[in-house]
This record gives sequence, structure tokens and C-alpha cells, in this order.
Amino acid sequence: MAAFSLTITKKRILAALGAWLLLSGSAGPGQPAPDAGALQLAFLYNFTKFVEWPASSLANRSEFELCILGDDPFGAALDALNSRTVRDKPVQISRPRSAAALQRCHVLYVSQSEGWRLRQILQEIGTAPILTVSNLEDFAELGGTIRQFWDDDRPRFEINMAVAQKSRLTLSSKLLELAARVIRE
Amino acid sequence: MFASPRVPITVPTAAALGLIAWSGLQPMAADDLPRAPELPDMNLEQLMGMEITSAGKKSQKLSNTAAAVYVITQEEIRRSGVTSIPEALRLAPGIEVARIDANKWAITARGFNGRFANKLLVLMDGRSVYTPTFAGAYWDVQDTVLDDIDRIEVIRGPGATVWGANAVNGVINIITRSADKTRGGSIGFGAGNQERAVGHVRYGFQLDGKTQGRIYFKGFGRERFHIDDPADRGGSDAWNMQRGGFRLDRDDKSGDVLTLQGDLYAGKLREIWGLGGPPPTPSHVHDRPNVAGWNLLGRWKKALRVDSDFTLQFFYDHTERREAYLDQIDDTLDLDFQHHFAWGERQDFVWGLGYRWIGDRLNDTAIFRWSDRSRNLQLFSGFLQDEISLVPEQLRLSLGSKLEHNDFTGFVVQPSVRLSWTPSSRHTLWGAISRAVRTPSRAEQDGRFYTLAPLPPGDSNNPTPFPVYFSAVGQPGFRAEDVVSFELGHRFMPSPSLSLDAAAFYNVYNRLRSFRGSTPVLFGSGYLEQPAYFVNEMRGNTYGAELVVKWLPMSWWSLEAQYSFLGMDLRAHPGRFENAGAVENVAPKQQWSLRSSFDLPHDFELDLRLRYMDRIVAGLTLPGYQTAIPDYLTLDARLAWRPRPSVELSLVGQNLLDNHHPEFYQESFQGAQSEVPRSYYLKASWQF
Repeated sequence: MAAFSLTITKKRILAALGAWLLLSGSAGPGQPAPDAGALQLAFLYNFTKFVEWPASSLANRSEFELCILGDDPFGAALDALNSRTVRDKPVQISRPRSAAALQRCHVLYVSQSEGWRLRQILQEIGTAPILTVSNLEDFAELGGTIRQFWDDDRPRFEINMAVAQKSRLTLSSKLLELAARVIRE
Repeated sequence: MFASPRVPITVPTAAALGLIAWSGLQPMAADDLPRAPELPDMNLEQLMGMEITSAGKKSQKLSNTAAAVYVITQEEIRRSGVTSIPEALRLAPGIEVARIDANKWAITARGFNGRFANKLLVLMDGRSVYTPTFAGAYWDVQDTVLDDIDRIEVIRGPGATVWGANAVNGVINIITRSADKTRGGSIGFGAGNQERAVGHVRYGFQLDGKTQGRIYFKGFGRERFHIDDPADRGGSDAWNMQRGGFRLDRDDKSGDVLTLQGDLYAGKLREIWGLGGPPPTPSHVHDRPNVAGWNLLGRWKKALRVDSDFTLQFFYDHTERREAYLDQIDDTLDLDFQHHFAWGERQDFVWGLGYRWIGDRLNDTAIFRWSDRSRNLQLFSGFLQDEISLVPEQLRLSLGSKLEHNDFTGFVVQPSVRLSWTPSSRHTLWGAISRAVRTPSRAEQDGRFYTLAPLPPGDSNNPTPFPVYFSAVGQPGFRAEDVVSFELGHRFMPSPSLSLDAAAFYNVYNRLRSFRGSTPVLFGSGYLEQPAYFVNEMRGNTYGAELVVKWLPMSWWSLEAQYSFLGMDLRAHPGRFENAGAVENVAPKQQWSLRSSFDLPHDFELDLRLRYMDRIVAGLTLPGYQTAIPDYLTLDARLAWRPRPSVELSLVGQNLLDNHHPEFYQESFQGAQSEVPRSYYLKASWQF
């Protein structure tokens, strides 16, 4: 009895394993429905086209560093950014783990999970030329550069211009036009 | 769901299939796939014109955790129509939830189920609900307003390195929303054939710019199940409970979060006991016990730097139960400190220290006698875990161990090694080897109780002219049970609308609980008492796999399928009380479920859940004292309408496919088989 059930089990496990491997190798995505994470990442990438960093921040750097702090919602959408460039430099996605690493970022996305230490993060950044982006409520008020949010189901964003200026980031007038709100001081 | 076992699939075929699959996997980069302009190629105006429905807003984070983790979200709890935490746990794969009667559950992961199951660690907002009496959790008193639960994290497999002893086969982490997520009022009321009345009131408020709070009250009365009472017709397992509580959260967004929360509850259960004590102990008792308790928890989470933070937590918990066979009062004080910091660019350390005191009071009854009616149990613990990023973003290794000292068995080491590989953001492969122990319970070390129905004279197993009463006898030398677990897993997200999660395990157990009989004693009043000692003489292994597939075919339709398989191979020394086979039989070999959620026009929602549980043999894990429980397939359905965003009306049907079915039989003290009936209820809720 035990031997019999064991053979069945082995076969089942192997069959399952085979099916699993086959499925994971071949099940290609059809038309992926846009999800919020992918859309947020598209915004993040698009913002970089409307921002000028001070020359000193990009000189001597072979890569454009896009940093993510905390548990991000981007998922597999991040793959698409790996092959892209910003200001003719290939995008490198990194997750800074120290204050020093933070200073190397060109763009910093602050995830929801880091809301409780937001002031501290912004203090750490100070006036470094880093474009900070987040979905956190009050992000722009508290000193972040761009807050992306949902107006019902539509994506919108707001800008803290004063912070951008202090960080020596130049934001194009087009970006300001499209913003739902611009905080100037 | 899997290929049928009759398909002649052999090792080479499977391997070939695997090879083909894996070789096809690598070039599957984003560029090979036909698709419309990718999102990043759109300009800002186009992006702003896009609309995301609520289904798309669901977080689809592909976790790279090196453990078998499943998260039951608030949305899933709401749409399932469940009315209790134990029932919500049925939403997770690989968790066996069996309802013993209206107010009792047997819940475990990966085997060894029972009313007094002892291999899951259960936490509510970081508060362990462990009772030392049997080293497990009383599910009937674990509750809160279900709408205020943020999520339930279900970890299958050992979690002892971080969570400590008793996280042997899994950890259930019930996490309520912080007070800033429950602003304003909420009222809900439901009634039906089993839910006589269930209602809650919650109000969330703001104390100052940084501090939010909420208070709640919840109450329910539940009808008896379908009971086949052999002794008389009057038995009931109806119950009611009332509870209230509060939570305060202070978040200044500068890296200081303070939480203070507490609950207070009282309830009345009706129970039917089958007791095996010698006369004059009645053998069949209709009981109406009271249960009550309260708890208070405080937590301070502080960020020291961007890469360093600590958490300091205390809680106090008081519970009491007064049942026909035993009165139990437990008081628990727990202090916990954890510090996390990054070391260099590659390593993340977490270390912690903990202290727990549990004082219990148990009484001597006709069923139970204790060598120590009250004990002060102290637990000291420390742990260190290092997460090393071997290849940034791709390969992570986590090494750690817990060191504990408990009053039952002294020092315990519970290490783990976990490795996760994320070759692309679509795939995560992980593996783990970990050890966990289950500390002895009070019953196993200090108790002596009559547990079985007696054998009358003339029974084929009783050659004596006297009735034989059985007693289970705890021994101070009863040791901790031990598992070493080998796990492998694969998470795969081919597209944002499809995700697959598979985990497999092989567990090696040592020093599992078994029984050894000794010489019967003749008592003057004319009966024999046969003692059976708790010993650690069972060992063996278990193996199995769990699989979850989530698919969003349309923005308004989501599907989820789950399957789990469990095999057990245990050995105990032979004898009258040999229990290995019986322990194996309590575990269902297979269970599966299919869930479908539709967002229909006009703000209607339709949710269907089909679930199957394999047959088991339950009851006391000794041959001859077991009850066969047939497999069952059942259906839950929910239809809801939201005429306004703040108002929801729902009609829920549960266990629809039969009039009633049994799911379990308790291992001791059960007086009648209670069966889960078909049920309906109607519920209205209003947010303001």
C-alpha cells in the first residue's frame, strides 16, 4: 500500500514538475494590461525627459542612477527600463542602503513603506541634485520634488518648485504646465 | 489540476520537458514579445490620459522572499464573505482549516492538525496568542473587526529564526490597519441562518496632526451546527462573543512611530464534552463555559539613520477559559527589541532580544490533575540574521539563528539558511534549510488526564473483568519536538495579469510526541487505570508542495487556483499506543480551491469559491479511537451591491453543495459529531 501510493506520488510530482516548467517557460504574456505600478514607473521615466541636472552631477558618471527606496510597486515593469538611457547614459536601477549611496542617485523614488521616515530621508538628501518622486500624501509639502497621485482613476502629479530650485534641478515649463499643482514657496 | 497520474510520464520525459522549458526561458526578454508601444515610450500627455481601474491598482509586487509566503489581503477577506479569522485562513494555500464545531477549529500547515495543534505560531499585530497549556492557539477568541484587518501574512514552513520557538510548520501574522487608514465611522450588521447576528461599530478620529486613533465594538451570536448527539438530542455548540478595543498611532514622518492598542472580550460557548474519567465523572456533558480576556500592546519604531532602525515592543495578555474539564488562566508579559542596520553596501543585519513571562493557573478536575497547578514560565531569546546581497538585485543569501532559553527544555538553537535568486523581475527561485523546535506544553510535562472513552469489561481489547480508563501522563523529561526543513520555491510572473507561485518541502522530524503504555493500576472502587506516558519516540518525514496561480483575464475579472499536496511518513515504536499511522491519517493528502471574482456593471460584485478537502481520519491519534471524515467539495458565493461608495449590501452563501458535512473530530473530549451546515446571511455596511 505504502509502496503503491509512493509511486503514484512520485509520478504525480514529476508530472506536476514537468507541467510547471513547461508553463513557466512558455506561458508568454499576451497584451499586458497596464497596472498602476507600470504606469507609475512610466511617469518616473518620463519626468527625466523634462529635468536638467547640474553638469557636475552627471559628469564623471557612466550611468544614470535611478534609485528606489522601500517596497516598490513596479514589479516586472522595471525590466523595460534596463535597456534605456537618460541623458545618453544607460539607466542603472539601484536600491541605496546607506546615506552615502543615497547621494549618488539622480532620481529617487520613495515607496509607501518609507512614509514613516520621509522627513529623515529628505533631510539626508538636503539640497543634493536628486529628483525625488513619490506617491506619498504630503510628499510635495514636506519637501519632495514631485508627487504622483490618482485623481479617481486618472494619474496626476504635483511639483514643489522651491525644492527643485534649491536642488539646482531645472524643470521644463511643459512639465509645470501639465502638473495639477505647483508649489512655489 | 495536475496531469493525471495515468499519464505515463517518466523521469527522462520530465527532465526533457524541464530542459526545453528552461532553455526557452532565457531569451524571453521584453523585446521578443509583440506588444503595443510600451508605457515608457508614451509621452506624458498620453500617460495622463490613461485610466487605471481598481483591479489594476492592486499591488502586484513579485516578492523575492526566500520563504513560502502568501498574503491574504483586506480585499480578499471582504470579497470572500467570511465572518471570522479562522475562516479567512482558508484563503491561503497549504493551510488546513477544519471546523470541529460551531465554535472550534483545527488549523495547521503541512500536517499534524488538531484542536490542540501545536506547530503554528499565531500573532495578532505582533502579539503572540500562544497558550502553554497545549502549546498552541485557541482560535475561538482570536477576532477583530474584519474590515480593519490590513492583511494576514501566512508563512508555511519554519519561521523560528526570527519568530522563535513553535514556528515549526508556519507563522500566521494578522496585521490590522494603522489608525490613519481607518478614519471616520463604519457600521456593519449581518444576519442569517447560522449568523444569528453579527455587527460592528468602529470610529476613527484624529487627535492632533500626527496622532490618529480608532475605537471599535464587535459582537456576534452564532447558531448551533448540525449535531448528531448519540447520548441525547439537547446538545448545542451555539456561541456568542462581544469585544471592544482601540488603537492609537502617532507618526511624525520623521522616523518615529508609536502605537498603542488594546482589546477586551468576553463570550459564552456551548459545548458537548465526551469525558473518559472514572465514576462519578459524567461521561457526557453539556457545557456552557465562559471565555474572557484583554490585552494591551505598545510599540515604538524609530529610524536612526537611512540604513538603521529599531523597534521596541511590549505586550500584556490575559486570557481565561472555564470549561467542564479544565479552568485555565494565562497571563503573558512580553518585551521585544529588534535592531536593523545595513553594513556596507552588501549586508543587512537584524538582531533582537526578547523576554517573555507566562504565568498560568490551572485547576485539578475530575479529568485533569497537575503536578504544578501554577507555573511561572520565562523565555529569554536573542537572534541575529544577516542578509547578504551576493549579486545586487539578483542573488541574496540570508543566514541567521535564534538562541532561546525556556523553562521546559533549556537552551535551543534554531538556525536557517535562505537563498533567493531573481534572474529577472519575472522570476524568483528560492531555497531554504531551517530548523525549528516546538517547546513542550504544560500537559506534556505536568499534566495527567483521562482522555479516552473507557473500555468496558468484555470488550475484545479488555480481557479483565474491570472497566479500563486511560490516562495520558505528562513527564518532566518530555523534550522539545524538532524539525529540519528543506524548502524550494519558484515565483513567476509572465505578465502583470498572471502570476504563479510554487513551493515544495521535505521536513525531517525528530522527537515527535508519542505514547508509551505502562502497567495498569487497579483501583479499589473497581476499575483499572491504564497510564500512557507522553514520550518523544516518534520520528519521520513529511513532503509536499503548494501551488497558487493568479490570473486577471479582464480588468473586471480575477481568478485564483490553489492546490496543495502533503505526504507523511512517520514511525513510532510499536505497541498498544503506537500513533504514527493515526497522525498520518489526520492529514488530508490533497486540497484545492478555485476562486472567481467579478466586478459587474452597476456596482455589483460576484464572488465564487469552490474548495475541496481530501478525506481524513480524525479523533485521538491512536488506533481504534478515530473517526473517518469523508472528503468534501463545497462552494461559497457572495453577491454584493454598492449603490454608493460608502454603502454595501451583500448576500453570502456558504457550504452550498450539501446540507451538512463533517470536517473534523477533536482528538480529546469531543462528545458528539458536529457538522458544518449550509448557511446564508445578508449584510449591510455603511462608512461615514
